[in-house]
Amino acid sequence: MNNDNDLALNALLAAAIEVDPELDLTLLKSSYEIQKKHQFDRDDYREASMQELKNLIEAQIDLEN
Amino acid sequence: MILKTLSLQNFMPYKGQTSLNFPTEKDRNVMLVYGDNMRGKTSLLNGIRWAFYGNALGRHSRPIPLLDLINKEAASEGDWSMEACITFEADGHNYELRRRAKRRPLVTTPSRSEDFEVLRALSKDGIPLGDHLIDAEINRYAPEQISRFFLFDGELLQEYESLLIDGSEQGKKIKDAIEQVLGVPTLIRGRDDAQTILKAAQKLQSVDLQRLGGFEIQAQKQKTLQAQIEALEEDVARLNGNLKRTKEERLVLEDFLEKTESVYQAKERLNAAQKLEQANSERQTALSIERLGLIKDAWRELIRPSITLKRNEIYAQHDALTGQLLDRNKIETKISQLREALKTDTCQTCGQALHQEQKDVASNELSALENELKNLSFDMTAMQRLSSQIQSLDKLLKPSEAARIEFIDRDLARLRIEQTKHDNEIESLTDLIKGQDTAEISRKRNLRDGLLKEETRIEEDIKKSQYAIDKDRNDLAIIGKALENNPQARAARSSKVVNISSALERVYTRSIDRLREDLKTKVESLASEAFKKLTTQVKYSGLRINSNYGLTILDEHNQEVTIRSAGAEQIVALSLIDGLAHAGRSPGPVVMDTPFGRLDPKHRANILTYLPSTAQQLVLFVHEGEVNKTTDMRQISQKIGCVYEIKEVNPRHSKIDRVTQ
Repeated sequence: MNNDNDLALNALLAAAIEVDPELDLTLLKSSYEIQKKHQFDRDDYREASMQELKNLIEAQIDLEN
Repeated sequence: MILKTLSLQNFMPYKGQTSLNFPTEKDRNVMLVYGDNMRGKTSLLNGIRWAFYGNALGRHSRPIPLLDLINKEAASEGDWSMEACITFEADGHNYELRRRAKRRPLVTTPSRSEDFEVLRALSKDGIPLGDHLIDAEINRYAPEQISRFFLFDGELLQEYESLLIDGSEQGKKIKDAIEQVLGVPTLIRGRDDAQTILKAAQKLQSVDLQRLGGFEIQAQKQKTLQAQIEALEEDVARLNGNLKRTKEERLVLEDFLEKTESVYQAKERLNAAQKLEQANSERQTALSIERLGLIKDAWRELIRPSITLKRNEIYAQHDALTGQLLDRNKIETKISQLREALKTDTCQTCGQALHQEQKDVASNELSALENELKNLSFDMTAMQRLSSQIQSLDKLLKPSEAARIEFIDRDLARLRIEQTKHDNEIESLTDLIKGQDTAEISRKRNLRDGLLKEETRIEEDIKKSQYAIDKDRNDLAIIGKALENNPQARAARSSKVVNISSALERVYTRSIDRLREDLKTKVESLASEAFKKLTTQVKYSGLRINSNYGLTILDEHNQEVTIRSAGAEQIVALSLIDGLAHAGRSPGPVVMDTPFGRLDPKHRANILTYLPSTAQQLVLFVHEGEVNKTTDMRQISQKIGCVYEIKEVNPRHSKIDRVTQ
């Protein structure tokens, strides 16, 4: 499924333009890929996606600095 | 993903080794497995499910205990092992997924599912993968959460109608599954993860702000709000746990009550029949007592004619005596008048003086009357006796109670017939519920009703807590916004994490509503397209979706068709599934168990023509009652890759033969 057909990603990008146009879309897309990868994880693996997202945010801050 | 083979060993009715090859040619992608009811079609579907996810589903989608999955005949011969192995190809890789259950060491005869150990293994291009990688690999191609859309039981298609009923338990489950296939949980998890990071960052930010100085008030406020949110979230988590437990407990009870519904109904009818029988019996007793009271005087009816005769006779005698008495009175009055006239020499009628001649006449008349009076005898005693006799006879002849007795007799006869009916009903109902613990059923019904109330109460509490959390989060966001404008606060790393995670949280939150709206439009359009190809009613213009993804048929005037047949429901459900497949996931195999149950030949023809073109592989488990091997299959004969037939060896053992190569 390519991005054009990915309704969830399209909704996320549209929401970003509406809610926070300054948000880095590359960061947003990367965060979405993390969630997509972990969508069907069992509840006891719930921590994994959160940790990856946290790392992504930290990397983004480092990049901005 | 393309399914290649399925091998089962001692799985449900498939004793020993059973293997199937799925069609892998693109142009001949249909596989048919024929089998009568109770032969093992659903067991094949469960074989695939067990291989992938380690569970099998029975009625109402309830898990079947492991102990019940092992072939009974093999087990009775001491073979307590079972295996399902599926091979498939995905993204250019070949996978082999094997799941095996075997009796635990030291267990002689397993009596519960825990007496088995289950092992699984997945190899990719011949290389075994670690156990921790297996779930992730399966989830890439066939996540369990969306399996109902590619491994489905046709008999459950009717469940999709529950999407049209707001608040239904079944509808909620299907809606969740639909949102899984469409990717909504991806965004929900994104929001939740951003929220978790934001919360931790806000805590750190409070500490940083206190350290920086000048932000003590904001930091304190942040701390208070964070503490409040944490407490409320704990409440919500606890309440959700309670709600889940309550629902699970209620569903177990619902299952039990559904199974015992006929016994409960019989018991209710028995209670009603017993009440009617008791009322009938009481009425009969009352009428019998009344009848007894009336019957004690009934002997009078027997002598009524002779008494009437006697009474008439006495009346005649009485009348005669009365006549005599009247005559005597008349004479006495006349004598008295004549005596007075002679004494006063005056006529008692006109008051004129009497002449001598007139006095003589009066004197003669007086003598004659006095003589007549002497001769007139009157028996007063006889007169009194006759009066007394008349009185006694009149008492005996008072109005009759025969009519009332007759009415009572008729009523009693009717009541006795009714009583026999009640007795027969009571007897048959008592037989029906014999050995059943009806008190336990009533107790569980009350328990179920109590749990339903409890669920409503918990849901209300969750709503209240959630509202309070949202309010606190909003207040926190306002503080965060104020801090953004301060360069010193903004420079703190924790504030940067707060800003990014807060932005992500808001964007993800908004995107969830947006996606749901987009999905409704998309699914409605795709399902309508499929529906137009599947339905035989050309006047239908399409389908309309509701907020639960429930679909309603639209007529030629775009008006909703409120009443629809079981077959129409099935077509709508298939259209939804097809719409979801196109909206939410890459094309893959579709395995359908008994999908044509309620469809006429024209609808079957439409499905058989349409589905092979939309699914990568179409596997149909059918019985000969739902498809015609000759006519139905003629139109897709070019598409059929292979045909199998399930045959019964004995009630506990089935085997599968390949009919075509």
